[in-house]
Amino acid sequence: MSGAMFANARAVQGGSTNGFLLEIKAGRSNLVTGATAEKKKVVADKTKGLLFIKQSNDQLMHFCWKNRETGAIPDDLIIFPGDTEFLKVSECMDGKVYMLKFKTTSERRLFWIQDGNPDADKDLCQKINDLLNKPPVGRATTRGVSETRNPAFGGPAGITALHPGAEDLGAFGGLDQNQLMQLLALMNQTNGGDQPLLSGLPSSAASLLGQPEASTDNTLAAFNSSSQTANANTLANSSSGASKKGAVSAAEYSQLQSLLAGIKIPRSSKNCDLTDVLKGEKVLDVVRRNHGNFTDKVINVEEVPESSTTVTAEVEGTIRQPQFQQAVGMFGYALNSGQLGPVLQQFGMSEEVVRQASDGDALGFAESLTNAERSRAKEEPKEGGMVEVKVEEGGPIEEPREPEPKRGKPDDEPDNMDLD
Amino acid sequence: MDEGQWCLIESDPGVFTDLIRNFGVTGVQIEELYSLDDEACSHLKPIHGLIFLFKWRAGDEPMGQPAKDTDQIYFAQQVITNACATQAIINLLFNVNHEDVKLGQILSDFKSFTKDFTPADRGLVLGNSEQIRTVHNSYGRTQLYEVLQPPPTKDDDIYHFVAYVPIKGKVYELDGMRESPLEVGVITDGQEWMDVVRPVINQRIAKFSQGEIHFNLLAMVKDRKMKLQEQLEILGDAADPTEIAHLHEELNAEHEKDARQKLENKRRRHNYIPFIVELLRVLAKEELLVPLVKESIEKRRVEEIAKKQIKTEMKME
Repeated sequence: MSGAMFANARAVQGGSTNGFLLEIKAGRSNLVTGATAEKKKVVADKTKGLLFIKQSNDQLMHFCWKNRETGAIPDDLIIFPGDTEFLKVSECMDGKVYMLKFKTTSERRLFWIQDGNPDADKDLCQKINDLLNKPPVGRATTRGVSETRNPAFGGPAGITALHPGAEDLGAFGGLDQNQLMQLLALMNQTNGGDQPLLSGLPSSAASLLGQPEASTDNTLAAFNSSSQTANANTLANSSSGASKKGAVSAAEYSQLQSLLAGIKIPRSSKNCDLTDVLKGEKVLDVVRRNHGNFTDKVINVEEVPESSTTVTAEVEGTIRQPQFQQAVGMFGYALNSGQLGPVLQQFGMSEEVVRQASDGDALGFAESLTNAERSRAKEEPKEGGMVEVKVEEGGPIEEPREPEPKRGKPDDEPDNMDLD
Repeated sequence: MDEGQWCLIESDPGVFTDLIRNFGVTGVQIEELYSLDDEACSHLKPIHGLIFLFKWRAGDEPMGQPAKDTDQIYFAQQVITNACATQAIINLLFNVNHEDVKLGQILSDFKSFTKDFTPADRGLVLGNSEQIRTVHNSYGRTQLYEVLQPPPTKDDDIYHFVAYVPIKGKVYELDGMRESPLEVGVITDGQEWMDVVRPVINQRIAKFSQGEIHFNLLAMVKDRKMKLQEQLEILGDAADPTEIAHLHEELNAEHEKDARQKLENKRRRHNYIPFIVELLRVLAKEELLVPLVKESIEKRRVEEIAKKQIKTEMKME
């Protein structure tokens, strides 16, 4: 799937199949030398863990082990089809022990099942071998990108690690695709701390599945989409949410995704088109009359000294800007679909306003907001007593802090100088 | 922007120019072409290559032959969703051999690092180059969150960028979705490459159904300010004053365009939510919000009824 934005095309398709394809509670075991050199002993590590398999949005299969006590994921192995075999270690009589055996190297990984349910590991070998050796084919492949090629190796760490001073790496040209990927996977492993470097991304379907109630946190993260922490939280939330539901195959996911994509918000009589509301001379007059309320909510025109435009012109021009109208469209969509409540809460709006918005009732929202503003006007009868709301305090609702490219700025200037 | 994701990029000359400048490229800029006629684009020369955006359809017949001299061509396949704007720029730029064009550190590193790779591996490396992705993603629109996105509808078509570029006497189409570059024509003596590519693109445009304007054409041209400055220098003081005045005028227009594009790009990144919330608040305070919302709901209702009526009428016929 390849998309480019043209005119007002607004769909963003997350090309990921996220969620664990399989998970089972299991701890790690170690091989230690036994009585003789030939004999080895399997010693279980008591740490509680979770073994899981996931497919990242680049379609690579990840075999991971998570420490359930710390939440860290010390093992995140990218497995290529045919590389490994997953076996039961039947010699181990006490407990259920399994082994991931690499065919090309002598590497072995051992795990012991910690799930109390005796059927938890039923058909485990077959399931894991199927997933690792016949990975589900993603839906995001397009013509010209052959499906067997397993495009991309995920995380950003790989290449950037190779990158500095990568002037003369002609030797790498001799590597084939698999070797190159393995090399990068190796670099990823040595590069990282406890964080999985190649984590998948929540697709909208996965997020919805993980958190059907569309919790406050999730929606709030919206306004903060560039903030790493919020994103990480959302990511963690949605994947753990998804995992609670148990294993969902990639095929099922893609079915669900197309299903969800087809769902339209019912055209309720309470819905309105906000792009229609926030335009026209009447609205422009209101903006003009309340000019001072908006000067800090438009772009900082002083940062573009070449342009002769003024703050006043920018404020008055805003409602005609396509970028503004696009944002209104999105905002209106959120309002009509009852997703706006938590956002408005962040802007200090009253409970009643938030409740109406959460019902997707545009008229109710308008009425309760009008009431709220009325009573606020009574409290502060002074002329022009428009309360500067706690917009800037919350942090999360401020302008997303995208890393602004340095345009003609000295390199040693820290990035955060760009902010406001 | 989420890890590993590439955002969609608007097909706009201002965005593309800014994008390549932020990659560190100098000496070129992107202009939109409304016509391929020589008259319409002669003032932009030299034109280093074209980027054609169109509605992508599976199974479109390739126009041209798979290139034979692939070792002369830098070609990267697209393996990453949404990366095609940057993909097309890179495929184009890396085949431009012109003294004016300087790639800058980021892209020079990338080019030398990937020069011996296969097209697919180049695509992989591109998809994972954090530096390049960061610049690319800075043009994505501020979005609430994916959950808040309206679901994609059938109308949201897939658009795709391809590059056309002259390389050593031939014109190639570089489409990251294909297995290899396509040779679309040979530049004969006395011909300019634009003469060769013109019928190819015109034919392609003609294939789109009439009235559909879902394509646009961007040209990578010599930095306009640089060109005008050079022209002024060559002319010297002795030249016709009206000619000099004319060049200055054009130069001013370029500066103004630059400023305008910078503003637009700033707006593209701006978070309008606080403005919207404040606007709703003042509208409410001035007792205008409820009537406006009612008006909109009523308008929608009337539209719905009209639509139903049209449908019924069509059934009746």
